[in-house]
Amino acid sequence: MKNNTWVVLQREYTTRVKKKGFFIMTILGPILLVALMFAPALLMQMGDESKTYALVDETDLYTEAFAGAEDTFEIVADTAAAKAGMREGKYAGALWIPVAGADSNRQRMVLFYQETDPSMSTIDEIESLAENELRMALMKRESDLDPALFEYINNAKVDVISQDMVTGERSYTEIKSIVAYVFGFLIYGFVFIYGSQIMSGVIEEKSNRIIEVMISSVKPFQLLMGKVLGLAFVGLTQLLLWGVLTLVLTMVIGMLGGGGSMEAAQMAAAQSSMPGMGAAMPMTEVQATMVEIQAIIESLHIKSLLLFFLAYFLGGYLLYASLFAAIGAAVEDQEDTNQFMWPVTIPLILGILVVATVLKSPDGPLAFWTSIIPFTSPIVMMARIPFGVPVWELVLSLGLLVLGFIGSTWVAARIYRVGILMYGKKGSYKELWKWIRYKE
Amino acid sequence: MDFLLDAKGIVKRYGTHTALDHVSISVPEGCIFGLLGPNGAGKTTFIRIINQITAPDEGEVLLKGKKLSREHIYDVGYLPEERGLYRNMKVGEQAMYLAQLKGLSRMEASKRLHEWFEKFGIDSWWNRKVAELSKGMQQKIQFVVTVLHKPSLLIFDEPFSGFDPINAQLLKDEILELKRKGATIIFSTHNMASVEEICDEIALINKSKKILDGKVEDIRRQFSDNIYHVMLHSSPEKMEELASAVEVMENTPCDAPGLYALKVKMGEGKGDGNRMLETLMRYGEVKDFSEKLPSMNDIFIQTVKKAENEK
Repeated sequence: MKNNTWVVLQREYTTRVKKKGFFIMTILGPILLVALMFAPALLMQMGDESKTYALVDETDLYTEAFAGAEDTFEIVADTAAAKAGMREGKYAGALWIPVAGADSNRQRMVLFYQETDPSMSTIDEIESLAENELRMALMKRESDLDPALFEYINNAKVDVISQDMVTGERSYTEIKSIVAYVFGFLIYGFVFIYGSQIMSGVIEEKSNRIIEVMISSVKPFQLLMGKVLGLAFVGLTQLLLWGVLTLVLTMVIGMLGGGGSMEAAQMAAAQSSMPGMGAAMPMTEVQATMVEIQAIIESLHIKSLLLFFLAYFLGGYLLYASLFAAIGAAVEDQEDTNQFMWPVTIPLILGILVVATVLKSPDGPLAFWTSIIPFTSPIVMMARIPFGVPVWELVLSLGLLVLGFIGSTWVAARIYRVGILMYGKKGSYKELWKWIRYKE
Repeated sequence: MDFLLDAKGIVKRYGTHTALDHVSISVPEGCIFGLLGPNGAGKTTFIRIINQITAPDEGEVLLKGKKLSREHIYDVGYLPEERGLYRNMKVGEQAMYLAQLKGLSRMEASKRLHEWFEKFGIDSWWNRKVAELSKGMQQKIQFVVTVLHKPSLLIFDEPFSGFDPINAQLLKDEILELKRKGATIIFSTHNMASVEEICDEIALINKSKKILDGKVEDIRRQFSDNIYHVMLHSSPEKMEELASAVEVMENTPCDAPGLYALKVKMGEGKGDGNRMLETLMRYGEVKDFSEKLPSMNDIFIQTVKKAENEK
C-alpha cells in the first residue's frame, strides 16, 4: 500500500516551494543578513554629512582642538556673529565656550542649534576632543610633566581577551552573543512562520470543504503528518538556500576585499568593526582580518553549532507545528484563532525574551530551566550553546524535546481528527478537551 | 443474495447523542441504492463509517464479504455533499493529487484523467486554476476524481445539488453508465423524483434509526392505497351508479362525448386491481387502466411523520 503521507508531503512541499513568496524570501533573506552585517559600518562610513559649526571660544584654549574633527568649526568673534551666521544658514550650529569655569577642571560648553538636534556622535566627538585639550591644558598649568609623556599615559588602554584554559583558543564572547541571538531568533521566526502556514493550510482545507474528500482517502493522522513534514522540508530547503546564498555573497565580497579595491577594503574594515574585533583596521590589514574571521569560526565550533541548530530547529518546529494544525482544525476561519493562539505564542515569546538574559548569564537558573523545558528550550538552548553547555544538559534538553513533540503531536492529532469535520460548532477549551477524549 | 456492502447493527454515539442506533443496511451488488432521510437523520455518519472516516461503536461493516479495512479505501469512491477543491491549485495537478491518494500511479492517473477530461470536453482546463472555474465546472472535476480509480462502491451524497439541468442529465447518464459497467452506487439525496428515476433499492433513516428499506417498486406497491387512473366510456346515469360502488376521487370530463377520466379508489379490504376492473366494466367500457402508485415523496413524508407520531 502506497504511503499517502508521502503523497500529501509532496503536494505540501511543491505547492509551497513554487510560491512567489518563497522565492522572494529565499532571495531577500541572505541579502538582508549580509546587509545587516555590513550596514552599520557602511552607514558610519556615509555618516551624517559633515556640517559647519561656528566656534565662539572665549577661553582661547580650544582653537586648535577641533582642527581634526569630522565637522568643521569656524572661529567666530562672538555669539551674536555666530547666531547671525546660523540665521543666514552658514552654520548648522554654534559652539559657545564661555570663559567662566575655565579655572576648574570642568568646562561647560553650549552647542546652539537651530533646526535639527546635533547628533550623539557630534556631541561625543566634541566632548572627547575638548576633554583631551582640557587635560593637556590642566597638565601644563598644574604640573611640569612632559607633554609627550602625558600623551603616552593618556592613551593607556586595557583589553580583556578570554581564552580556553585547555585548548588555548580565544573566545569571542561578543561574537558568540550575536550568533546566539541570531540562532535563537531564527528558530523563533521559523516556528512562527511555518506554524502559521500550517494553520492557515488547515483552515483552508476546512473552509474549502475539500477535507471530506481528502479524509476518505487519507487518515487524518497521515494528512497531519504529511503537512507537518512537508512544511519542515520547505523550511530546511529555505535554510539551505539561505546558507548557500549567504556563503556565496560573503565570498564574493571577500574576494573583492582580496583585490584591494577601495570599496572592498571598506567592506573588510566594516567586518572588522563588528564588536570584539577592535576598531576599524587599516586597509593593508585585510588579510589579517580574514585570518581573524577564520579564528572566530573555529572558536564557534561551527559544525557542531549547525548540527545542534538543525536538531533544535526540527524539534522546536515539530513541537509547535501540529499544535498550530490543531488550532486550525478547531476554528472555521482565521479570525477565530485568537482565543487558542496564546498558549502557543506565549512560550515562544517568553523564549525570545529569556534569550536577552541568557546573553548576560548563560548558566543562570532562568537560562537553565528554560533551556530544559521543551516549550522554550529550542530557542533558549540554541542561544546558550555558543557559550558552551554541559553534555548532560544537552542530552536532557533534547530528550525532553523529543518527548515533548511526541506528546504535543498526539494531543494535536486527536483534536485535529475531530475538528476538521466539525462545522458550525465553535471550539472552546472544554470542547477541545472532549475531542481529545473521543474514541476513534 | 450477494451483498456488496453489508452493514450490521451499526451504532455510533457522539457523547450523549446517538447518531446511528442499530442500523443494518445491505446493498446488493450492481444496484443503485438510495439512502434517504431528513436532515440530521444519520446518513452522513453512516457514509463516513463506510468511508472509514469514523468507526462504529458497535456492529460491523462487510465490503465484498470482508470486514472493512484500509485496503478498501481504494475500492470506494466518495463524492461528499460538502465538496471543495484547493482553490489555488491547477485543475490538472489537483486531479492528479487526488488520484494518487486513491492509489493510482502518476502515469495511470494522467492517462485516465485525460480520457475523462476529453469525454467531458474540459481538457483545456488542465492548466487553469480551480478558483477560475464556475461551481458547475468544479463539480465535473469532483465527479471525475471520484470515479477515476474505478471503485466497486461509489457513494454520491446529493450529487445533483449545484448542477444545471443539462449537467444534471449528463451526470445522471454517467451514473447509469457506471451501474451498467457493474459498479454499485449508494446515492444519498432529498430529491425524491430522482430516487424514483434511478434507484433500485432504498433505505430510509430517521432520527438515527432505519425505518424502511427494500426495492423501490416493492415499497411503492406496499404503500399503494388502491387508487387507479381510469379512462371510462360511459353515460351520466351509469356514472352516478358507479359512484355508489367505488369512491370516485376525481372526475375530469374529456372532449370526446361519454369519455371520463377518473381517479377511483377501492374501499379498505375490498380487493385488488382485478376487483376494481371487474366493477368498472359493469359501468362502461374501460379504455385505459393503471394503478396510481404513491410517489417516493409521499412515502417519505408519510413514513417519517408516522415515525414522529409513534414517539
